[in-house]
Amino acid sequence: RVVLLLSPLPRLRALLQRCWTRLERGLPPAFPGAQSPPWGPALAVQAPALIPEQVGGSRESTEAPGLWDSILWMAAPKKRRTIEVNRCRRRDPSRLIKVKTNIDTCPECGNLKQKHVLCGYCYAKVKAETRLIRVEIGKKEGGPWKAPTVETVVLYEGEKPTAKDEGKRIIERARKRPSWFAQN
Amino acid sequence: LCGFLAGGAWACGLLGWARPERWLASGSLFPLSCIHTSTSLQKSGIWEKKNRIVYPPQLPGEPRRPAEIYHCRREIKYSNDKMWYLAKLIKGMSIDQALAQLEFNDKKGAKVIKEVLLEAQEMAVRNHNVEFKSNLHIAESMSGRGRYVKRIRYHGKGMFGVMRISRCHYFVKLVEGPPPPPEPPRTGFDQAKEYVQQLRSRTLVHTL
Repeated sequence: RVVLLLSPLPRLRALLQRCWTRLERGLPPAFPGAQSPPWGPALAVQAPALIPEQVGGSRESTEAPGLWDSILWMAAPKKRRTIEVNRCRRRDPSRLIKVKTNIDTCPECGNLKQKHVLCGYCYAKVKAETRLIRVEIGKKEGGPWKAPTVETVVLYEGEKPTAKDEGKRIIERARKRPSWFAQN
Repeated sequence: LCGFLAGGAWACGLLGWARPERWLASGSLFPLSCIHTSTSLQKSGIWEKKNRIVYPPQLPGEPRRPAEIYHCRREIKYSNDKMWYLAKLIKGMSIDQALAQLEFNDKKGAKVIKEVLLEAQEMAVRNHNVEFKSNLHIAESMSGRGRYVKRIRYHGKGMFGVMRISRCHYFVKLVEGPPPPPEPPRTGFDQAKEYVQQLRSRTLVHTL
């Protein structure tokens, strides 16, 4: 994606110049309105060290900023990559999609499934039924934060609560028990 | 903002999709005149016409010509380069294997190609006298470049770039019968044999 740098933008150019001159002097490139961090006591600098720094600073402010020089050292493509070279790279076997060998059929519904993953169709079927059970639970509870501290048992049409279901919360579902939902 | 191109040309290109004649069905505005406008809703391409060829009846001794079904989908909102990888994956597979591979592939184009293959399979059984829907294999599967539109992509500091919204077509040819066995890879022995054959088939030119 090509980013077009518009040179006649005076504000951007001035900002870059200011940033660079500050960097040359060793100051952080603080933007207008930012507070510079409090400086600690600096070491006493010898006089000859100051002069080349001042000279360097004055030289930089008169000429164009050094940013434009360092662009010459940046990596850039030398030649256009030919379509043959591009094709060799794009069609290399490591980039092609590999054929999966871990696809089987689900013994329950016959749809395709991956060996280490649950069957999508069966999962969706169970999820739909669970959603309806949760709707029934919601109707029974009548609001949030009202879940009882006892276990829940789901009974379908024509089923009676057994002796084991003493003290448990009963949820009724108005349909035949699905084959995959085993009753205890 | 000084980034806009020459207004007229750019606006023409930008609103290329909004050509009024494409919105109107042929003859809807003028019910009395039954003029059939040239720009139909779908420009009939070469691949669509391939299904219409009719061969002369086969002679009794000839081997049975396997059924060929051509199907395609145009202007899919996906990149041509990315679609190529999926098309390359499916080439030469049986249709069941192809559908299995595409179902468990996470790419966006996989879903589209799966729909195209199922449509083509149904077409084959319904219109092209294919007996078993599993007895098909993919003879050709290709992707082509669709129409691209240019849009502005906004960067920081008032800079912008031009981005391309790319679309692609997908073409598939199903042929009845089991998939052909894959070609064995060329060994060094084969290459050597071919080289020797080349040397032996040299003749002397411009001689008696």
